[in-house]
Amino acid sequence: MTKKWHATFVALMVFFSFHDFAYAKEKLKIVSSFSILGDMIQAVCQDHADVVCLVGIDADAHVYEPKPSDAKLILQADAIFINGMEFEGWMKRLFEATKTSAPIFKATDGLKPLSSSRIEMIPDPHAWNSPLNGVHYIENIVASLSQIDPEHKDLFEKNGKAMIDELQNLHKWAEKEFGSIPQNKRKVITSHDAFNYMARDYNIKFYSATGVDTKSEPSAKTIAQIVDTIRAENISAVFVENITNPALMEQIAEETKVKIGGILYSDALSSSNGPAPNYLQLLKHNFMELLKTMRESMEQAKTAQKVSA
Amino acid sequence: MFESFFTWVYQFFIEPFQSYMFLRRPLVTCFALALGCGPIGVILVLRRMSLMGEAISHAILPGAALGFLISGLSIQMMSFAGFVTGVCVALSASALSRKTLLKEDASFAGFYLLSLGIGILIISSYGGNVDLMCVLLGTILSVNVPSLILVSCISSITLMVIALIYRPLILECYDAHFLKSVKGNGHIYHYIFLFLVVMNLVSAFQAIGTLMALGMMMLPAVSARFWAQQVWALSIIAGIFALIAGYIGLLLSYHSEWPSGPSIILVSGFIYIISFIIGRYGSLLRRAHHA
Repeated sequence: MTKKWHATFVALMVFFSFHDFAYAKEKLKIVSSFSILGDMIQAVCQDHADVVCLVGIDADAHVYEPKPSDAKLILQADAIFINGMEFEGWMKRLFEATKTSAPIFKATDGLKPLSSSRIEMIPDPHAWNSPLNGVHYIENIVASLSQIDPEHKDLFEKNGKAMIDELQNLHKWAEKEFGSIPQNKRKVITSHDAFNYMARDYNIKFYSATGVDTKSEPSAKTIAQIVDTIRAENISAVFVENITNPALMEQIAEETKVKIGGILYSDALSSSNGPAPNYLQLLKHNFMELLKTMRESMEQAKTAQKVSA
Repeated sequence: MFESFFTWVYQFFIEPFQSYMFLRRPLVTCFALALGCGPIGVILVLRRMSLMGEAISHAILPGAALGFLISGLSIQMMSFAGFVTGVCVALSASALSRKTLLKEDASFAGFYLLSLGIGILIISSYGGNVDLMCVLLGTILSVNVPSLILVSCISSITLMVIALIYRPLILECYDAHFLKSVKGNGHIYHYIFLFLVVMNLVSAFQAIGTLMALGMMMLPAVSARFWAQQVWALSIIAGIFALIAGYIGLLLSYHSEWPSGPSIILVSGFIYIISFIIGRYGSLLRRAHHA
């Protein structure tokens, strides 16, 4: 049914989306596939470019349906940035359809992909969820921008350096904070498999209900395994994400009597008055939510020990 | 020896439901749906309206979109508004087919495409990036208590209303003119029935998703057609098939790591295939036998 739907959708959109994006003349026009990458590019070029994101805040880039206005943006762009690692599969068709001449840059170029924790062979595209990878993203963005606009190379490098410093500070802080939590408390349940890189860098164990894609429907066996894990390992909270339907996580929380820890922003920024309006804030927010829940679970374990003693 | 066999049976068939609440709830939901959807599906098949559910699923879209615009992501508001537009489309398509030369399926096609167009227009002009269908549609494993209560209430209402209007409704399926001559205006029963169909579909869509809702309604009903001839018997058999499909489907999903919704539908589909091959009435085997 959805396929029929999408065809009609595209046909109708041709008629209804003829609004232009007014770019200022001398600025670079840059298109980014999703909001987190868009924010990184904006941080590197500041007012020097207009960055448009095809998939906006709080939206899911795994299952996006491109619009004719997106094709127009791509045709007019000076440069296009994508995440790569099969994150935005729909982009390929858009490039073929528009035959754009703009250079296409992959922000994850040179990064070694980790495979999904649930299915081997499938790479986990959510590389930005680790600040160390974020540094790599910024380096790639600086190099790509300098290539298309060599005049402003110094500016891009200066802004990139500032961002990299912040990311490295954040990494050191997170390493220290997570380090203060015992290994057996660093266990977390999330709704989709988006945190493999964070798991590697800070030694956190993530269990997830669905794979790296958001559209797959979980099997009863997977959910049963998660419930068993929560019971066996005394995990104290499950997390929901801003882009996924929370109903399944609510079921698991009710079944196991654990609480819902908070909202993690995995694949998209929040609105400007939300908790994760830019990339740095997003990383910080996710770290804080995870740390808060792990600490609470440590406190609970301590009080439980005292009571039994 | 026997003891270990019984332990195995227990562990395989019963224990999963005993240890996990998230499996019990879908099972109860399937049971509730089976009761309500059995008779509805059977009567839809009798009236040659088997594909109407598909049309209704598009017809609820503009309502859901409007509900979303009025009060944001509130499932109650979206379901209610979807119900209103679904009923409007069903009633107007049905009325049109009685007043003009168009047959019911054709006027349904016209109306549901119209409302699908309006729905997409509303979503793409105002809805932003939210994938409304994803928000509106649930999956069987994430059924929560409010949805379960809604589905059971609607099943109960459906059963009671069908019991009340059973005779004239069935009579209207077979011989509308006769009903008109003895009862005057017989259309009212048809409209009440359409009302029930939309109600069942909207609640099932938001609880368990389109595939499951339509599958639970239609597949057992078309399978039952090969096993009985009276409408009451068809309804009971359809209900039982739906129960079996729900139970075995969930077991399959638990033991073999298949997603639950499609597993349940696959079991229904398997029952359908068996039915049209070896069923008692009009199946391939029977026809071959007689020929």
